[in-house]
Amino acid sequence: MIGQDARVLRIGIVPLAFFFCLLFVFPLAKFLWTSVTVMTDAGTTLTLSHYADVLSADSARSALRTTLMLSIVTGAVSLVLGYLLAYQVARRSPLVSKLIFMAAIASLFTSTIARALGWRVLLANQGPINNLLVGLSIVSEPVQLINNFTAVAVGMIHIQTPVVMLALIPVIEALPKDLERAAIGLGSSRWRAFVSIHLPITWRNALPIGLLTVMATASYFTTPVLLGGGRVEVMAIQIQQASQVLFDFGYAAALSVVLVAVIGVIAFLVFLTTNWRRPAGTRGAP
Amino acid sequence: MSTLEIENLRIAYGNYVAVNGIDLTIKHGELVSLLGPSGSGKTSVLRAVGGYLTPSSGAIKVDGRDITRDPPQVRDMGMVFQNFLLFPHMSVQDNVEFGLRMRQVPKTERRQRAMNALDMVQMAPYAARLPYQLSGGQQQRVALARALVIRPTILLMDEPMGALDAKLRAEAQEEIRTVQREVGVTTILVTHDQQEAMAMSDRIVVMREGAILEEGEPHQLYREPRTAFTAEFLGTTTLLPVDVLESEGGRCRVRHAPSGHEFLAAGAIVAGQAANVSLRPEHVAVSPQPSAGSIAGRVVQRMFYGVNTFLRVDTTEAGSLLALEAPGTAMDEGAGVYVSWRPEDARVLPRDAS
Repeated sequence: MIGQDARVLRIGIVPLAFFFCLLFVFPLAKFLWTSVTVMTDAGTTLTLSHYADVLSADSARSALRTTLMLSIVTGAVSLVLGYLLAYQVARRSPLVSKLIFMAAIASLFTSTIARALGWRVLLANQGPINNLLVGLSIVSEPVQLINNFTAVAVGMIHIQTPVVMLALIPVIEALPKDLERAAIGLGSSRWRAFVSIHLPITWRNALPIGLLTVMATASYFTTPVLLGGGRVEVMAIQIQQASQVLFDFGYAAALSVVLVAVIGVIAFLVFLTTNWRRPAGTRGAP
Repeated sequence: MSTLEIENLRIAYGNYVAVNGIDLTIKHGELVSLLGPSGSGKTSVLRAVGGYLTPSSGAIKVDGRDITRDPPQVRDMGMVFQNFLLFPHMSVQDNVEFGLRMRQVPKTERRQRAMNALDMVQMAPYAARLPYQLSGGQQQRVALARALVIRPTILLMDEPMGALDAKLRAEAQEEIRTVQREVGVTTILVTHDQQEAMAMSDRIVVMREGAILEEGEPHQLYREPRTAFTAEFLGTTTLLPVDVLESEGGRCRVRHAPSGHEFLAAGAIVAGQAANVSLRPEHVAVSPQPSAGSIAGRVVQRMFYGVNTFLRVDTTEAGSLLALEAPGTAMDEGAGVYVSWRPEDARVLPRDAS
């Protein structure tokens, strides 16, 4: 029977592989190919000129910096917020934990565009936040809250935090509740137990989730467009401009490859330093 | 070295009453087991004493001081959990030092006390190891050292042998008992293992459905249980349903309900009531020859346990009985035999509600 199962697996993988190649590998390869070629009347020639253009263009370099900054800020803040929320879900009474869970799911069901537009309303010059600040005489004139880096970061964090929370719940639930009880029984405060027992055991499993957030944020397009108001140039916007406005596919492809490469290197370094697949029980092993 | 008093303790989770008004006093240095099946409320009592749950009513006092509402941090109790719960990212030494660090004990004294505690459980050579590098038995000893190093007023143990295999269990029982005596710490042990409770305790408290059914020293509870539940829970026994015909001066004439066989038994149950007779296997003599008052039966199964051998004997007069094979004899399965017991060993116990 086991042999038959193995055969089914082998046969079953064929259509999957076919569609994977047709719909993913092939277009991607074609796109990558355009990043290292130029088409002239004489034919197609290999070149690194697109990469040279990317690396020498100030706009591309600044977009890369902005993207990395946005991704890292978003990753870090949503990791912290998501961790705290997941901790509440895992450790609070069933009612509280269900409420938090529902709130997170509800915001996941809303489209990113709707959420960004919601933030536009909130952060507008005549929006509720500015009205409140002016009304309380904290500021005399409305503050510029929209169309800047902070607005984009806030929007991104709003999108990523529920995802991080969902991913972290099993990580936290895997740790027995009694482990903190043991610490508390030995005289530790709840906070000390969290900091000296809970965090050190779970951070290695939490970090890769933060990393996924960094990677997901790096390629975001809608939120930077809608909340950045054209002033927050991230890589995704540059790529869209290059391919759909300037029709310079070689340059667009080279931009994408640079973005993927930079994120890939960061990811690799983090994975190297965390041994993230190791179960919590063997934490601290050399 | 403290006395623990539990007064009218009641613990309810919503509509479910886990502990229904128990009273218990534990003298200093005493090791008391809370013994009962799951759902008997024993763990709830332990958690309430440790401060991990708040009782609905009642009081818990240590040396006369009411600590019912104190948070666990300030109770100075040592707890050994079922799965030990060592901090996986800390060395054995750091695990043991944790409670001292929380008490701001200076570093040199901390080291010294941790080493002493580890010495006591023979784990000093493993101080630098991480928990995952230790066997279950070693982890348990570290957990014990971690609980004792803070010089707890009360030591609480929640099924401490639950995660150990049978062979280690016996060793661990002996060792924990030795250390507990040496330190002289007042201890509550929660267990569902009657053998463990009997081997380790000064006193056993039998719990059922949130209440204390019976308490006493192990041998006393074993020999003179007052309820059929205790008789069955502590050790092995055969319970025979009987009707009490006459009762006088701690002796009864009873009639085995299914067969109508009449015999004498010990106990003070009012005549005319339905009751149970408890017959321990070691009190049932099995012989190939009949004797005065013996009843005929047939060996249907022989179970060899190493130290001793149990026989299941089917009789008409007393139903199916469990007996201990006398040393130096060997009965065959299927053999016709005669069983007998002394009236004082057959204990008449009230028929319980269940």
